[in-house]
Amino acid sequence: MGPDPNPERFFREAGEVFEQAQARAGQIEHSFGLGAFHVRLRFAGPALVRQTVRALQHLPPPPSTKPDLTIRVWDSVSTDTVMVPPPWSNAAYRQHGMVEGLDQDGRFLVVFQWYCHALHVLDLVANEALFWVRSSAQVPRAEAGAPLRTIFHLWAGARGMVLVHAAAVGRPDGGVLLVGKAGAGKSTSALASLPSPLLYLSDDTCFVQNGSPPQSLSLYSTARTDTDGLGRFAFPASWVSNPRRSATEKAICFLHEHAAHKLLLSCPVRAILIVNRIADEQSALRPASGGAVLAAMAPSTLLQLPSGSQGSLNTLAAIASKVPGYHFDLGTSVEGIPEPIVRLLDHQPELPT
Amino acid sequence: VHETLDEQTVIVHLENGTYYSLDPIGSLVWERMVQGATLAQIVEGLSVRYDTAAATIETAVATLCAQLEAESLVVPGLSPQGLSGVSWPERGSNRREFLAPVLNKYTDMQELLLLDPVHEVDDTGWPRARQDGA
Repeated sequence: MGPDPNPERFFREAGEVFEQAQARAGQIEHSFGLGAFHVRLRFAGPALVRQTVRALQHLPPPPSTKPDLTIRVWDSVSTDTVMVPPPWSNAAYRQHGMVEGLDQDGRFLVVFQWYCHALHVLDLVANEALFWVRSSAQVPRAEAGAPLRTIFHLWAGARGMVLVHAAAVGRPDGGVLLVGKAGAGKSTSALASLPSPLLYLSDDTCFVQNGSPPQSLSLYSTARTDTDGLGRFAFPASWVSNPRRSATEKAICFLHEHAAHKLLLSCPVRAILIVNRIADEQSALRPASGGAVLAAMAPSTLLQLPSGSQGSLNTLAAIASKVPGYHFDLGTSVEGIPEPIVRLLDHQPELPT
Repeated sequence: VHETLDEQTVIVHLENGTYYSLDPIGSLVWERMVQGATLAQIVEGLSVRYDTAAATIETAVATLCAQLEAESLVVPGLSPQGLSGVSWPERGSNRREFLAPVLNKYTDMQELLLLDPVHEVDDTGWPRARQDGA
């Protein structure tokens, strides 16, 4: 730790750098509604705007005038500003770039993610956050598919929500979460819903509010697929936003730009499905215990982002205990994937509110 | 961090990315250990619920404890005195067959923690930019 790890002073001084950057590069603002919450994004200049807001533009206008979360977003290169140095030492970095020991009462959460070279700071009392990079060019293209995810994740815990590693599909009266490891078929299942009566809420990450019943909230309109899925079952090649991607990069599209009518912003969670590919043609559902659902949903949710906690695990367990769980054996017929989900939603009794 | 739901326990080691699950009997043992029960108290409680010799139960529970210790999920000797009243779920009318508890270990998520290794800082105090151009 450095000589004076005063997080409040660092937050204030970094905020002053942002104001300086905004004065030089221009003020740009976007606000949107996230369930009952008002999220406000303040940018210093245009460098990070498109890659940050594109996946969020399906979200509705804010439901209130007072923001529940304000995020200041800027880079140093395009704004010709110098970031204040961090008041912590290299030894303070922990898993996922979480900075430890900065703040005894837990008011300030600080993460420096090396893979996108980005600083995230959240003040849980003021509901203010900072997102800073040295240069917008350092942010990987894939980040446009899930912008500001770390800040949303850190903020959600204080709002009774969890940013769950899950796809989600459904209808306004109810839907399902699709959980499982990477490659299990979550995205495939979500994309397969596009030509069906089901609507699309998420392919990888969504908020879940721990209510009765739990409520899923769309955060990103992103859809991803590998080359195999392109044009075959996922989405047409003409929808791809990153045509010049590398061989290992997934094709990304922003569904609100092409199929806005297929997006679902929120719905009650009526069941949680553990996705698992099988060799048979037809997809099918089998009952799963709450423990099996938790085992499928919790590790990747807690480990993929910083600050996984006992509280987050308790919330996930509470959510899993409120709705039935199923193993979703994902058959090879992509066209047949939505049918068991539609049948489940048709026959699953609505949960008491 | 750990949580038990429907008689299955999920344990996630946030520092190294390993996670575990325990079957129903393993979960019973884990929950009692979390409460601070001794090995003897756990064996006694299981013996009145399962139709199996106490010695067999003791061996199985000791094996599980050793596995949990080897995985650094428990620290031995923190509650050497045990508890005066260890809570157990309702016993039911019939004693069931005892199956040795199983600890399942998963390491497939560890790579998620390798995305952000500890890094070097430059003279501004901030971590150096990555050089691979990704």
